[in-house]
Amino acid sequence: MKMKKWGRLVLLAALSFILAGCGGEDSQTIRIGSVHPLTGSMAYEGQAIVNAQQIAVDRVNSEGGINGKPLELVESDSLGTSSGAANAALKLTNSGVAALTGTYTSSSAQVVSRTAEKAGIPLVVTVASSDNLLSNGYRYTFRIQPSVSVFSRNFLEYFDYFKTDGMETVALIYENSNYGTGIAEYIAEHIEEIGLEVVGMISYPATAATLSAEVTRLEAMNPDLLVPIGYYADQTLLMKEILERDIHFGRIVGCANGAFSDVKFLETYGTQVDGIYDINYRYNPNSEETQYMLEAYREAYGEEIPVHAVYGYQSIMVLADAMERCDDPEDPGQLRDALAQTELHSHVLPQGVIRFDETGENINSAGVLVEIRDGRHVVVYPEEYADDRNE
Amino acid sequence: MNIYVLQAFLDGVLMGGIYALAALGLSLIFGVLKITNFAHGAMMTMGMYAVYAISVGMGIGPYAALPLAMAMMFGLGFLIQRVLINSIDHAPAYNQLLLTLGVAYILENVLLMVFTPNYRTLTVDAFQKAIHIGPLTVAPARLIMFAVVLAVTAGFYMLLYKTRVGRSIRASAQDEEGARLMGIHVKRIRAAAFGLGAVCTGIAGGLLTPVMSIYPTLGESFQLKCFVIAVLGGMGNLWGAFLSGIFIGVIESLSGYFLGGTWSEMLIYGAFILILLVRPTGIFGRGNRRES
Repeated sequence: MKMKKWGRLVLLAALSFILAGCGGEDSQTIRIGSVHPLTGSMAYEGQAIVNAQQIAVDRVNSEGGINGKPLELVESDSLGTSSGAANAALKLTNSGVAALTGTYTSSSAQVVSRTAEKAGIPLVVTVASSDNLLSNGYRYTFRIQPSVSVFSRNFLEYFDYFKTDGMETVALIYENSNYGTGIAEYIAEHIEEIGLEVVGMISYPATAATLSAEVTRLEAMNPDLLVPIGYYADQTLLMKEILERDIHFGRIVGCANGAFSDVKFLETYGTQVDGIYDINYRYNPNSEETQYMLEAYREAYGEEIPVHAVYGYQSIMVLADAMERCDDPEDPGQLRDALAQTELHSHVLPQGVIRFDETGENINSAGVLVEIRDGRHVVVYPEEYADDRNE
Repeated sequence: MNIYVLQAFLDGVLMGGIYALAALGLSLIFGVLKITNFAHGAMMTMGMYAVYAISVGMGIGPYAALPLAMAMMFGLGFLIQRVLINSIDHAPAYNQLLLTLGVAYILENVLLMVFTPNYRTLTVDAFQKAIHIGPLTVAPARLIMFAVVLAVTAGFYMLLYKTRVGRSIRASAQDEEGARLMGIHVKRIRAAAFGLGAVCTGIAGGLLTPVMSIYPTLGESFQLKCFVIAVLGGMGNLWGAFLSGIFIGVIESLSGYFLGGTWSEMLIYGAFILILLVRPTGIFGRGNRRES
């Protein structure tokens, strides 16, 4: 298993060198660039997105490709840094890819978006949630995933589905970067409109070695609703200390929480975390295409698809759909215009039709409300996206 | 006093013990080798993975895995000193510093390759359910953590001040040439000191394994904290490092309680700068007489 992975990496490196050298002018495939972190601390997350993209590429090719020409995914490691992402994007555009996809972090997405605009090559963002990503007036960047403000709005919209009787106070605990602070401030600003009083806002650095003082503080505040926002490691640490001390909050509801919607989180805590809610990425379990994606991912990689990687799969399908509507799918200008006119009804996301506004934002993007029940994730709202796991 | 503040104080003392132990290793290495070990955080992560791997691989508890992990860490530290640091013994200090930084990156990437970037969590439920002591709650795992820290610090004190090896270590720290003339095998002592420093990180990391999720770059956040504590305690001062560790743990916890973790780091490093300005030898430092 490990050897196979290394073999693949070496092959990939060799391949990308060869491809970088020869330009894609009269290649036999339509090449799509993928800029994600494949090494470094976000390697796990990045690799999962690329894996999901590969499944989508295989699916398109098994149905004859685009006008008979197969797709090819060309990966380039962003190292999880903006400079790494800039280099990777430049390498890919120079080698003549038809489109770019990426990048997992908002800072990387910004630089790749600029590269794509300069080169006049469309970029479909897989995962990157920053609100201002599409505020540059660029024409070539499109985003499928819900932005920070969409997640925050969803939190308030879904409130009726996770509130408890007599819920009056709320405390937020969030990691202190753009993502955690952005969501926490939006919720704190608007939650009083639905009648809750904010009794505490506690921020912490994602690298914190301990959160026990913060947990004690939360215990003292004793809020009816606790809203944690953060990445995987810090949020598991937070839950570990809450469980350890056996503190009970009226309700815990995460927003785009890096741990709560992750399968590994359930493997670690099982039913101990029952009753926790999260507003997050998800797929539409009732779409046939989703069933195909889940099945294929499981078969190829031996594990469940992590929910953020769903957007990797969808990025390829959105591109394929636009390419089908082009006379020459490898003409970046044509492809951009086709993307802008996207009207995709059949897809894997928990939302209506995929359609972009003039800034490139997927106007119907939305998260879903998930509850952990019997040690499993159960979609509570919107009901049409609930799994068959629901009673 | 508010009971929650007391709880935060207690948590700070217990966590401070871990910082103290890790910093003690750094202080010891500096005392004998006169270099700042920038691989300290990475060695701590190595200790965590050693405990994790032994515990999962042999199906034993993390505390039972600790002795074997300690032996492995001693071996690793001894080798790093003997093979790498020793061979640039007379190079300028900044080269030795860069060398340890290089070692840090190598260790981190070895962990990435072997264990993948996936987060790992050990669960030892019995030790994790908090017990009540009066109005306070504390998990047995954290009490064990502190007890081991106390025992190890006392053990190090005995080793350094009551044994022949300890005398050799202290002699080499004070005057290398003199120690050599007295027939002390200084090279071996220096490697042993680095090995013992590594053991400190191994124990500190190992004790944290049951209470944290571990990942290959985790140690980076401990590196700077250890450095601050060792300097506050007076580099090379055993009990100074111990008290400073508790001090930093309490500052971190109380500021986390009153202001949130974002402020903790600011206050820790703020206090550090302030103390350096007022008392350059650290709170517990005795001055630089020995090193001049």
